[in-house]
Amino acid sequence: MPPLTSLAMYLILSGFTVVFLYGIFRRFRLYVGGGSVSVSSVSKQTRRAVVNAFAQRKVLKKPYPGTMHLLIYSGMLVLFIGTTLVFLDFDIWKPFFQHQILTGNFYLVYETVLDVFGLLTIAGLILAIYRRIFIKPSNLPSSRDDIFVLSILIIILVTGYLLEGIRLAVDKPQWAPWSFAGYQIALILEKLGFDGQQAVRFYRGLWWFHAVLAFTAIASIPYTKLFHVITSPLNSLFAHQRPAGQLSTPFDLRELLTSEDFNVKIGAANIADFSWQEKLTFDSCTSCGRCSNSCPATAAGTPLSPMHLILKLRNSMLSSRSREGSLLLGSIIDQEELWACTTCRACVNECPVLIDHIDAIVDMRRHLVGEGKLDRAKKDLLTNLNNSRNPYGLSPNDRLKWAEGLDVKTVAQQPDFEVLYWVGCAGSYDPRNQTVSRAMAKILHTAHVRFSVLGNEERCNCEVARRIGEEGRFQQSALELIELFKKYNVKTVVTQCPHCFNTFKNEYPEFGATVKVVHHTQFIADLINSGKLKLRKGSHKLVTFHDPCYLGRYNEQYDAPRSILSSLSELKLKEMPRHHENSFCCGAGGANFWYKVSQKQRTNLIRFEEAQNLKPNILATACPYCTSMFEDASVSVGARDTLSVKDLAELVADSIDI
Amino acid sequence: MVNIIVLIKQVIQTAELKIDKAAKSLVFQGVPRVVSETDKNALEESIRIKEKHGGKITVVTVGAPEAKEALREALAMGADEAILITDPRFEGSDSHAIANALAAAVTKILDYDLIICGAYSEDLFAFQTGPRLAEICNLPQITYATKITLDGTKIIVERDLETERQVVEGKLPCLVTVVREINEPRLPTLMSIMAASKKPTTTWNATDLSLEEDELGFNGALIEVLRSTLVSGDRKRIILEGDSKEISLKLAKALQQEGVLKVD
Amino acid sequence: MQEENHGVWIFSEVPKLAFELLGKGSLLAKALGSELVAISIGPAEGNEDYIKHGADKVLTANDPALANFHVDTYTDALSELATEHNPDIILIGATRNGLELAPRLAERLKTGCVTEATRIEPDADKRYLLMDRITLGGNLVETHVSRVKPQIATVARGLFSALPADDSRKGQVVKVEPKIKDPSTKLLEKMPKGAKGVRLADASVIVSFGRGIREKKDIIMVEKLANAVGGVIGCSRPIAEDLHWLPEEQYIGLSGQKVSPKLYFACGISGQIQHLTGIRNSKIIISVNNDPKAPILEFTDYAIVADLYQILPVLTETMRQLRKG
Repeated sequence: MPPLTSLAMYLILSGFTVVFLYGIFRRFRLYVGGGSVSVSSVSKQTRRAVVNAFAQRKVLKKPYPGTMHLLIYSGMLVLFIGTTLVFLDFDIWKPFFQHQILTGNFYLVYETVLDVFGLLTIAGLILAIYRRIFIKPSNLPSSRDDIFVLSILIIILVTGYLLEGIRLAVDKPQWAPWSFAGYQIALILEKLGFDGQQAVRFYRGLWWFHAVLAFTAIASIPYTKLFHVITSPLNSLFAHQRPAGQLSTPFDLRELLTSEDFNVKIGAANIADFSWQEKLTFDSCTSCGRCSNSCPATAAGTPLSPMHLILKLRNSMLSSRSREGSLLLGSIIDQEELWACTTCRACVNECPVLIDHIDAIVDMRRHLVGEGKLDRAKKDLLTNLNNSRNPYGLSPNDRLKWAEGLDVKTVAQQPDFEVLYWVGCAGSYDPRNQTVSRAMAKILHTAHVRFSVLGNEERCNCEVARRIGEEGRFQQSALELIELFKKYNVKTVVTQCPHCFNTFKNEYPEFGATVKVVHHTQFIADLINSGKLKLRKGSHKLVTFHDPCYLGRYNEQYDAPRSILSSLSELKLKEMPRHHENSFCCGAGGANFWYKVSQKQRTNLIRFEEAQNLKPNILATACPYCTSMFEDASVSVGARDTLSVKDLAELVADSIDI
Repeated sequence: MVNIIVLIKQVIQTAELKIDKAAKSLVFQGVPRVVSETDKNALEESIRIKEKHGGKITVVTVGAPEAKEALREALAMGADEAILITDPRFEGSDSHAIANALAAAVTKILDYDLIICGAYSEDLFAFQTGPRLAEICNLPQITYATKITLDGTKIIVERDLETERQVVEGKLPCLVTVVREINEPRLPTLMSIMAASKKPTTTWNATDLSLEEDELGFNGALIEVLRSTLVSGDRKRIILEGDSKEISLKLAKALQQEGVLKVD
Repeated sequence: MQEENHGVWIFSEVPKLAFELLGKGSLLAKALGSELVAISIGPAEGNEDYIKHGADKVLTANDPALANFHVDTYTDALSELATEHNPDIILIGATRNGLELAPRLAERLKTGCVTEATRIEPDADKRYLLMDRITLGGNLVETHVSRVKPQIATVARGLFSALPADDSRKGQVVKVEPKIKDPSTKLLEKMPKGAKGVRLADASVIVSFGRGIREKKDIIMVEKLANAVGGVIGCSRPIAEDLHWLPEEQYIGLSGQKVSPKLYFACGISGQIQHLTGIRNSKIIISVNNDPKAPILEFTDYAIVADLYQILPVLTETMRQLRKG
């Protein structure tokens, strides 16, 4: 290259750098405002960032796109380091320190490694282009942004190899074969006679073209999809560290009661109301579509698509018009999108860059609740929780009706209990779930577990209020129940409802709870494994199991139910196609059970059909919501005689060997 | 600007009442106290009028001291000021005595253009308070409102009767009773209810209202309750036996005795 | 103020209801040795019918200003008549009009009023009436006595029976002209409601069905029962949302309509909690289901455990006969 090339290049580069830096600055400035979230464990944060961003753990969960991205990502990373080394070497080390890094054997290996990774990157890009043009997976629309990014990268790489080939053809250095790809190109060029002055002139032009293209690509980072290379790793560093089942806590009722100042602004009405961490998450979305492809609300044809929701939030943040305090809801986001969410967590589980969609949805729901913009059903739910202390609006004095004729003692009658059996509202009032409660009583008695129930002192823990956005009622109920637990010296709570289980385990400690919480599947599995419960062998039946969202995905409890099923040795378990963390929601969560969600295809029917296709005799469940939803589905499709829906407790109680 | 007085009543949630078979009485303990549904409709309507025309909403209730919670909920929904009328001497009041006390309160408040209340309360379904109060205060009454429109001192109300709907025009001041169809009341969050305790609440007793002894409670009532008899609350769960004809006849007889069969 | 009060008076702007009140009125009049007077306000025709149905006298006010019910003018008319004649008892039909008229009238006369009395009987001394009414969500029956006369009560359709029309009965028709002030409101428009205007939420009799009905064409069976009992049709959620046999406004349940009828038939409904929360305020629930273990049985007053295809036609016929006479 002629003299002054370096200088010229650096001048031009600085122009692009300004554009780049300005873009970054302009984008990050958008995060300012709104609240902040405290960061707890730096070591956990860092480890999470390393595992997810660097080691691409979640990206790799899907083989094709995971591999594709790994190739591009690792390739670009290596090439970037490699190219930077060249500049450092030529323009800093050599002139200032009279030394070169890229010499000797190191240089040879360096050349080979770069060639390898360059090819890998091209392979990844080809996979990506092929996927977009031919495979066309759902929720992966191709915009100008995608075309730009893929095109510019592949052109940069191809021209890079061409440059390498020409240089090797002209200079013919000894170590040429180490850059094996460039070497092959050089051989072809030599054969064609393109290795003289003509080639040199062409090289110079191509060099500038390649350089400008590369600078453009870098400068475009804050203006295109490429921004995710900055935001996504940052997000895996700064995203919230709350355990899976714990929603954010916008205020502490105890503090407000002391200060007597209840004027708190809750919820997000417009983009400015989100914290900078949340805004960072919106900006981290790479439009990969995995969330929407796993979302039950999307599958059911509701207005909700998690990816589009996040993108709308991001675009709202970027668009200067929206930033000026206009309300998100109504103009950009439809209420129905928020209400259609079952909080099943499939989206969060799938997201490779650790976006928490549910956080954003609940924040916006909180605003709607604060405005009172709720339909009849939602109002009735909250009214019932307040007036009747259960979501059904049935009498608070009827909570023990399920136990009529059974020897079930209340905490007042038997204060020296080992275990508090938390029946829950469904277990107390829903006839279909009362049978599960009776089964539990039978199991506990048979295993000689000294248990008590709260009886009419039991009241809904209002987990559903928290999910719907009425944070005040949730906290009020939490404080009340924790007092009650303390009053009766409760140490261990066992419950048949994963929602109750999750809230007691993950959300109550923040408000002072110190109880140990066990889901009934874990409790029963332990009883069986310790020999306290003996089961009969019976006829052979085919069973499939539906992992409840709040037990499985949220709390990673998959083994206990399967252990129970294998103990009921007459039952043969066939896994659903979507099982364990990929379980497909029954559709009742996020308070959806209590109001009408406009769906093209009902979620519970989709899942029920998935079960039916296995032709089982029994669909086993471990959650009162799931049981109710599947019974409903069964009635709808007329399958009551062919497929039984049974809670694991019922199956166990029926098989107890006295 | 339209200044409105909204009358509300705190009622027990009658669906939760249980019968103590041994004591042969109703169990009131643990039964939630709520704002009567149609009164919430009245409140919601007054807030919508205020949002459109401006003005002040004073919510008034006659009740036990616990009725303060009902007032707080009303304030949280959007009322500006609350007045609790409470006095142990009100014990034994009938519709007339209550209307009398309310009339005294309304007169004391003085500055109002419109009184809105529910057509009936969800515990007694008496339908009497509105008309009686209107009569004492010599106000026109417009009942069973499903839509209210204001235009200066003109008020236009859509009314719901059994076989027809009416649109009537009246003049302020007047009293309007509303039915459930008029609107969907907003639901205040717990936080807004707690914040509402900062809004002004006044308590008046019989003396504050300058009521005479013979107007109060049992003394002022024109109706006396001689006795109350419990009706069982639980579902009967009677299984009818026999062939189709026998079952049908048994059922027909039972329904006649229950008094639930409609006649043309 | 309290001279001797005489006479059992009845009033309703709905003739059929007025006749029912006359039916009860004549029993009261006989027990008390009183005169039975029908107050006829509005049209001049039809006064003879009151006599035929048991009235001894009809006081008829036919001022054109009284042609249509208005609470102001009718209160003026009735209160003037009552002040002049001092009746012992006034029974008013508990239509919505009656329910806004009676308390206003009672307040003007400074007397008591019992809303929707379910039982009216003279006390042991035959001086005052004992009037029962249901209160507190149906949990309590209170016996009321008015301390002042006239004793006023409103009475709903169908509680009492009218006497058969007796053409031979003789009675007096007296024209009266009470002073009427101008009403305080003006009627701008009147829109009649169609028969189909009864919403599920307002219906007093509902016949509802679920998946026990196997085919859409079988709904006719349910419709026949509904007609026979004077009810409106409802259904459970799958019928409307999944099968689309009925519009969505007609399904009853947690995410649908909430109803509070006097009488609710649940035909072929299993009784999932979602449905039960919609019907829990029904006064009487009847279930027809061939499953003896159906959850709905917990929530039923009268249960028929049978094949609804067998029993519904028979039940329909029985109900029809009953309502005819």
